[in-house]
Amino acid sequence: MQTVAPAAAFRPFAGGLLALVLLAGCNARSEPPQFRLNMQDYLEMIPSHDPAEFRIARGEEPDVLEEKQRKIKGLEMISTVLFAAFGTPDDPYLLNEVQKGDDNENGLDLVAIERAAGPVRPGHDRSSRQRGLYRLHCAHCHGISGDGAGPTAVFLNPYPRDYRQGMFKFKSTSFTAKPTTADLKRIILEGIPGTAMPSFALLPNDEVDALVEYVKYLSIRGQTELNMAIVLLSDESEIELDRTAILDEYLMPVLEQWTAAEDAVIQPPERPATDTPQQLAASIEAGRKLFLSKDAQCAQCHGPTGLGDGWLTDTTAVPYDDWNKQKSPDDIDRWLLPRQELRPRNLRLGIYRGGRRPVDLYRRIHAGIQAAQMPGAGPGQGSEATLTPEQIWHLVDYVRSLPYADESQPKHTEITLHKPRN
Amino acid sequence: MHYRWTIAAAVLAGICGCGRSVVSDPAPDEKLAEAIRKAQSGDSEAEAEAETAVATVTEWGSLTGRFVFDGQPPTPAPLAITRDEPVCGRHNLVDESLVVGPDGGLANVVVFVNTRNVPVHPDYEATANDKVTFDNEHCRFEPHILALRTSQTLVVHNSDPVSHNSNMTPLGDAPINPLLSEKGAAEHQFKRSQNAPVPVTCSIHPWMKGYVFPRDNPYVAVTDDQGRFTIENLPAADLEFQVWQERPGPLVAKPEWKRGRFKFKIAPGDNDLGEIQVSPDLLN
Amino acid sequence: MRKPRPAFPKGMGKAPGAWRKSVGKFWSVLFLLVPVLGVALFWWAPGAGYWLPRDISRHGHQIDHLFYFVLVLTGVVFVATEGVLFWFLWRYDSATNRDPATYMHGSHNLEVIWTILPAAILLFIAIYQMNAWADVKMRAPPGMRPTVEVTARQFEWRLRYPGPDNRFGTLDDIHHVNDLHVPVDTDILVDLKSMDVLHDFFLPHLRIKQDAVPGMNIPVWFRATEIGTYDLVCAELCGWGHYKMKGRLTVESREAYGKWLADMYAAQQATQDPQAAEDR
Repeated sequence: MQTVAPAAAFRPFAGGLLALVLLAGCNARSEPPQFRLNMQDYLEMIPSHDPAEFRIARGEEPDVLEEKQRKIKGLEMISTVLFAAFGTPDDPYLLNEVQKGDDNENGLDLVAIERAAGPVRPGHDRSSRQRGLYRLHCAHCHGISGDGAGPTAVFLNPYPRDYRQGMFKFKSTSFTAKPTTADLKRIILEGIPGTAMPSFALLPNDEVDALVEYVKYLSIRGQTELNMAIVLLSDESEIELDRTAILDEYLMPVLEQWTAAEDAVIQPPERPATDTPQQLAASIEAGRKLFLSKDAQCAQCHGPTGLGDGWLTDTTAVPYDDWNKQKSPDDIDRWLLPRQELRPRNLRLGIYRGGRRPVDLYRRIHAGIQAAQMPGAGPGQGSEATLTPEQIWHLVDYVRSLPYADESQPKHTEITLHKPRN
Repeated sequence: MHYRWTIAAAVLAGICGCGRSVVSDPAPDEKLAEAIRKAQSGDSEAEAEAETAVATVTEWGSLTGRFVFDGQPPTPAPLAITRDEPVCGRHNLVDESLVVGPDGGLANVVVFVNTRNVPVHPDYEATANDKVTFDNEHCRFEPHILALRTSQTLVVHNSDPVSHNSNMTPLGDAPINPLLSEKGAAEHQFKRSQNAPVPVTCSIHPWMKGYVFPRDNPYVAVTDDQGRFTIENLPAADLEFQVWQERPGPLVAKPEWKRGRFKFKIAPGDNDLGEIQVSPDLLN
Repeated sequence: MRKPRPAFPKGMGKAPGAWRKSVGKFWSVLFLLVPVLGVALFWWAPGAGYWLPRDISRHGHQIDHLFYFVLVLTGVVFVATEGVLFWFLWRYDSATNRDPATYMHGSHNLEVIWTILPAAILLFIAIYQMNAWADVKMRAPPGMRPTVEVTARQFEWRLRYPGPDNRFGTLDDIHHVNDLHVPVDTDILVDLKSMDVLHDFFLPHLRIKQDAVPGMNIPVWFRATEIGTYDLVCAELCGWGHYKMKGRLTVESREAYGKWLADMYAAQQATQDPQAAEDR
């Protein structure tokens, strides 16, 4: 009997220890998060390479081994350069040439980036500022590295944007150009209807600005990495660890693209008058004819009725965007996120991902949608315009009228109130 | 003594819960990184070296060869024409990913010089800034594979009475996707030399597939219906060549051609690779 | 027969009897602390800012009245019950109580009383609240048309105003997100929908809390009586991003509201970037 008591008394202690280890142990020992190397894209973009090229097995032939060692060494170099030029998620860094300053107004704002980076640290009172904004609001979908593969990403359709290729769909600029700062800000403020991207309209202005800057930072970092990977894996030459070479060859070209975005904004010319119902009806009718025409070819994908079912008639269509189209279905384990199909938009729902203003729709038709299958109809990319601005405006009017056409919706019923029973 | 087991279980749980078994990325070399951060911009001797590395070559030779499909020539599968049938349905379009001529010649094999900074024969200067047309004709791309130099201008043209778009995403270069109405054309200048042909698709007519191959030198050849290719005016030197076909990518036509590459010493005058038999297994 | 108890660990200092005596009293006092601290907490909380948010609605006082009424009622019962519990614990502590236990079958009268009394109270509350419920959920001010359509979605509030033609489902609808504007001193009818899962439209300052159910159009009405900005939150766990679903209610003068609507409408019809238009 005497021996039972100490054991019984000890048991809660052991249980407490268990709880203590589980709760405190991990936090105390876990490392700060790191950026993930963009292996997925190296492999997708350069299909002749596969993951085995980065693993050394026993008994390999000397020339194969040498090649593999060269590549692994190259990855270490990429890792070193990225660390040198961008720091870590907790401690972002920018080389002077990339930093915004008095003499360099095109650079990135390191103060804003630092605010958005790092672990979530609330301000002590209302006046001091919230830090770690990216992890608070964005990282669970877009991932620490901005790879669009955060913990919740796999449940979403479409997937969250992977910033690292520097491709963005909804912007005011031309097909190949980067979005402007205002474009990114607009997406954060208004969200993207029809996707899982919610609106952050009520965040303070400076927090939104910090997040925009951080998204740019992640995107520039990702594209710099890809530029190096192309040289390493595709051109098969060395990454030089020379500051000037790094800046000139890999980093500055990307930053310049972002700077150039402000000049690539598409400003639609004056819209033809649609003040009277007759004018509007005429414009809509002209747009309908264009929609079905062989010139604009809208109906091929969006369907003759705009339901987004044009592709359905076609079993050979490969409806994937640039993030998904390289993923082969028989090698599914290679990717964090399985391949997801791209669908032409159903234009009768009245849900516009890139904004519902006429100017937004004009830009979609004019520039197309980068990385998706939507081609641009306006002039650009050295081509003459397929459609005149006036024709694009007719199409805008037609597309805008579709959700409200009689056949689009069951008759809109206004809510009826409960009948009071007394 | 069962409390010991409890403690052991607790410790084990702690280790399992916290230990990361994920293979980690290569770690950065922090000292090197620090050196990069501190380095002053300016002195880059490597660049200067690269400039002078181009040797002067005075002798030139050509390379010819023929790829032969080593088996029964397959019947190309007809394509399902699901869009714009009145226009596209008339041309009996077939799958062009494997084209074998009547006498067994393997067409559309790309052979190009893989050696970097290769000297270029002065004769090529005359065409260095030409416009090269990649046509949308009869709802297919003509030619199926177009090689051009980055100094040249690509003109994507549409000869069909329906609109096409030509969507291409070259590696490390700007993607383009112009929409071309009847007789429409778009011009584009590639900024970067590619190491494999870039696929071109049309989202309106999904069966359409072609390739554009921008290189920084003119030494690229695509085999014809008889499987023949010729590269003219190569520098007489040891060169590495890469062979590429649409289906496998790098074409390992001979076992010693690792990753579809072979080394060849170009002698002044004509050089002939002879007939290269390509096993059908490589092209499935 | 009493079972033999295990010896107490060493170092307790007191003889087993004395220790048990103090423990018995300790438990009864501990239980007495529950009502005392409970009342103290409710006394302290309003002054410290932990209380209902300020009521700025026409119907809110009815809800608040019911809340206080039920709070007082349950408070009195709570304190009384805890008092009785304390008294029994103290009086019949086994360490000091030498009275032998007696067996009783129960008190029929007592059971009838404690069944009928709560039933009567509940029935009274049910009848007493009917008017408030009807005012808030059933008796809509006559002739109301929806001012705004609120569609809950993971994880935001999508808003739609009917636009100049005052009809929903037309090209001039005004779309907005998360920032609900309403005019002051006006009856507002909200057409509440959900796009995906259950959400709950909660305006704490207006005492409005209504589930949004996928597939249903639910009418919600209120009248805000004070200009200002207030919270709009989701009060139904709707997924991992539930905490993000925070909106804002802006109550403004009718003039300001009209101007805001006109500005929103103009912005939505933009055929140029506002910035670029200024540059011209």
